Amino acid sequence: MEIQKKIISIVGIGLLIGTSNLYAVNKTAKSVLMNAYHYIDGLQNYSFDAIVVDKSINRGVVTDEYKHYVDVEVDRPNRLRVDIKGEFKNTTNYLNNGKFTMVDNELGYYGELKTPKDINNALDFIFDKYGIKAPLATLIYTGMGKRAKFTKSRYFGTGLINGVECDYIAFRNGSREIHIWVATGEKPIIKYYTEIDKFYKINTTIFWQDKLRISDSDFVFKASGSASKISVESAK
Amino acid sequence: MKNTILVKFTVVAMMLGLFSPSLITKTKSNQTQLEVSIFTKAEARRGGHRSVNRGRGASRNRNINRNRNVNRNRNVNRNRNVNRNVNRNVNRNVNVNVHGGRYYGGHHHGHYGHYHGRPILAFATGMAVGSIIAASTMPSSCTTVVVHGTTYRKCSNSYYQPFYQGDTLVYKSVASPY
Repeated sequence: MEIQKKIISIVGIGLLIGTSNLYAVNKTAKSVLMNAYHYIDGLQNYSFDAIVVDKSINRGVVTDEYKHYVDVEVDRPNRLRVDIKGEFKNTTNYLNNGKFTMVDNELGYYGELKTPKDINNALDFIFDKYGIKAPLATLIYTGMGKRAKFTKSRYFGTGLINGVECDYIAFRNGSREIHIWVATGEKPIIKYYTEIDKFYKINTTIFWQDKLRISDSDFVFKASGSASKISVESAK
Repeated sequence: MKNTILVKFTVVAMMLGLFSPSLITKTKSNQTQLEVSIFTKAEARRGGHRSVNRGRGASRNRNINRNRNVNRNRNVNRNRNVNRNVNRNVNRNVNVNVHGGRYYGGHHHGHYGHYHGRPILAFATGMAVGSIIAASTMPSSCTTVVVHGTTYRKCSNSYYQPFYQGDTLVYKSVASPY
């Protein structure tokens, strides 16, 4: 009897001690995401490419699927360039010290807006005043940790994205869900995310550039002789 | 008395142990890994087409179909004829939609939408002056002309002035600038 009690006591104590230690190292979805955003906040000059697959869904069936290739160059605090190429778009957006220019590379049309100088305020301005969304803005803004608001979150464990081990986390707000894979290790970069709503699903694969490929001329739009400036009206 | 205290302590310790995080050990590349999960279930609901090592064994993929029947197929003739020999000839069904939230998405395609409460239209001949037309529907036979510094697209004898509505290129049917 005494031996049984001792065994039970030892097992119970072991579990108790193990529990205490394991709680301390556990990850949460929010902690993983905040870590990723904190890493982006610390970058000054960076670039990445992305493949965006946009699916329209009707009654659970994918009715259309489009693919865009997006190249992004960020030079904080005031300069940004986004190139989008795809079946329906061939555009370049420039943000250069308070001037936002969007160019249709096929037709040669371009529109310009005067904006606040820094990237965050400029992106807020074009969205709030004109309804213009910056693609992949979550990877461009600083302070996304304060902007991102979700009602539910969950950490699912780890998975591989292009051979890189990532933490898999998901967030939900209403009917909208964001599933995100963040690289484990020293650089908690966002490697992949999926946005899901009732009528669409957008898969975004991100390829971060290790070598800086930014030059000053990248952020300067020079209109060619055949280019035509057109007006920009609000979509709101 | 001593035994009673010992038994009570043992019961409490075991209960804590039972409701503690679950542990999974697995071997990968000859290395043993320890995984921990405090959740009793981990359900990757829809997005998880990638392989995921879940904590605690309960894997419950749910297929939730909550899509509404919205018929937004439009037959779009996306011919463009640009002076720089750019000629698109795409005739396909386009689901009209604007996808993505403010921070994560940002792409839209085949977007007609509205302009000041009026629907943006697909191109057709004989459109009333003031009509707003989706750029993707302009025919390839149209050409770009510049009159007094203003750019127009000329289709037969009709003129259309391009402008951005937000980041979407659209055209307004206008009277002849000549």
